[in-house]
Amino acid sequence: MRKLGVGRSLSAPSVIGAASLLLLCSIAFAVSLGSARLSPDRVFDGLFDTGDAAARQIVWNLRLPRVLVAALVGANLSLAGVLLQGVTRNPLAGPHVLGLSGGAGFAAITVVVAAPGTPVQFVAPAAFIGAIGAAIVVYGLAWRGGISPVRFALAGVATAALFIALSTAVLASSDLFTQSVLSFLAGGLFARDWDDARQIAPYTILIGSGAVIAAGTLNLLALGDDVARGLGMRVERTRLLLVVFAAGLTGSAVAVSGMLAFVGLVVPHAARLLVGSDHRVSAPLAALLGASLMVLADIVARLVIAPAEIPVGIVTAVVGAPVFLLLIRTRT
Amino acid sequence: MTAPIKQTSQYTAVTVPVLGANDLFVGYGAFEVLCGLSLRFSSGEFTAIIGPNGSGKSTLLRTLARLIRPQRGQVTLGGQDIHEIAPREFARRVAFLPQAPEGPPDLTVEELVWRGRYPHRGLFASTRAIDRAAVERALERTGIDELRQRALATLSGGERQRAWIAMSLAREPDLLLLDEPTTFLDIGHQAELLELLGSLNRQRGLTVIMVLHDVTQAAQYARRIVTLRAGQIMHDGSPTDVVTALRISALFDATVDVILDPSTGSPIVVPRASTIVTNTATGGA
Repeated sequence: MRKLGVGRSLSAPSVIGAASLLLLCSIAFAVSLGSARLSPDRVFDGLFDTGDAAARQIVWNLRLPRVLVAALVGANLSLAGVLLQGVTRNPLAGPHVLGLSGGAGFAAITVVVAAPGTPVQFVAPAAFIGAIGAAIVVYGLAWRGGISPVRFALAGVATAALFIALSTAVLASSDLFTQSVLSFLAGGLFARDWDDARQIAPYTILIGSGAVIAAGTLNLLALGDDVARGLGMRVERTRLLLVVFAAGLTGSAVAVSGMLAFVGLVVPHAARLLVGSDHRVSAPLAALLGASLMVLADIVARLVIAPAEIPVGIVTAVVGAPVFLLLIRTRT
Repeated sequence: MTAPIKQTSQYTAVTVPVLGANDLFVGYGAFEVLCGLSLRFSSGEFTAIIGPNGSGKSTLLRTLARLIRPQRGQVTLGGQDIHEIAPREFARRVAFLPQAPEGPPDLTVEELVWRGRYPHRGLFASTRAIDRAAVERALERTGIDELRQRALATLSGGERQRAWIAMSLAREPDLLLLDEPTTFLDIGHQAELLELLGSLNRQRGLTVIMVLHDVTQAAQYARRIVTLRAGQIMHDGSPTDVVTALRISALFDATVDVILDPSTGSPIVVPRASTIVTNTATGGA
């Protein structure tokens, strides 16, 4: 059983510090790499010196916003995963599995297809509402005088399938290009720019910090509803708040990157494996790890068939699926 | 900040019963589990609630623990309706331990016990000396001091149950409510656990109310026994008053003999599988 406690010798500050460093390195690496090869000093110029117009365009206007969007998406989905796994006490839960991504995606796609001129800043709120809608559907299906984690997860699986099918139907009936359709369904970061970064950043900053602050409540929920209630916690109210947080994080991520699978499912496990079951530590760690993972995955997505690229969701699925299978085989 | 509140509750306990249930109706939908039940508990009592399956024992305990809101009637703590008391304020005074609680397998005993301080600390309080002292006392009183670094999954059933009791005691409650705390324990650990609860009751004045399955055990450790059948109280009294062959046979629709423990004098229930008597018993039901 000591295997479960592998990470217990690692102190929380050192793991968080290491993960922050990993994220910074991943971002630096991602900004330096691309189909146009730039020397490190030109990358530096592109970031901090407006004199080199070509470097400025590539590094500042093309790569950096995309890399930041990747990091924010990874952080949001991973945090949403931590919240949902904690709320449902189900290690198989995640924003994708529980239908929140599907609801967000369906809402975002409907807005984009039905009103093609919609300014980009309205897509994230629409996706947020879609994610909340999906959460309400899942909650409603699972509610029977209270929420049982198992019913919640099963209702989520069904809802996810339904919304993804509806999204596909809307996309199929639209005249969008195959590339953007694929990119949305599988999750992609093709041509993300500062507008997208500005769209998701407030959600990460506001709801993300709210989620990290509220993560302590997950420690009580982990003891079971009766014990949590017995300790004086308002269980249903807390659970609802955390699900709304998860919907906001998921909705804003889906609005800029489409329906990415596996990130929100796998990263929370990795964080728990490193630091144990204290969510006050594993939640911020998951955000940092998720951000790093997405930044690195997006490098692969951009370069593997350069100058063309594949949706980053394919990379996260190829990495995430085996890792997830490995986790469930070793941990249960 | 919390000390004056505790003082008050202990002071008022002298005049008012600590916990009282008045004309309680509790049900799930149309199905009524408790029908007009009234009951009072005084400070320092050690009570076991017994009764056949489905008699409403657990429902009663959960209603007393503020987990279920009664449809009619009320539960009072020191004279105040418990649903008018803030959840954390109630949790500081009353601890409830459900049957077979489950925590994350890699959680350590010490981390678990710390979570029991939530009613006092909330989520964001810094670690005060008073919290640390309460956690240490809880670990020590349950005899699991040396297990503090162990993960829950590595503990035996008896050790794990003591860890949960330590978690419940960390808030330093006046009352401890337990739902079948000996389930899943072998007889050695069952006796050890009840012995522990008995000593907490005698030495610390902790008021204990527990639902128990085993009537003999209830008679052996509790000083007061309440029997429940179809959501109503049948008997309420000392073990020797309540645990008689006639009363226990009627309560469970079973045929039992009761003999007295030669060393302690406490009643021991011996089930008899007599078909002839069973016929007359079921004929009555």
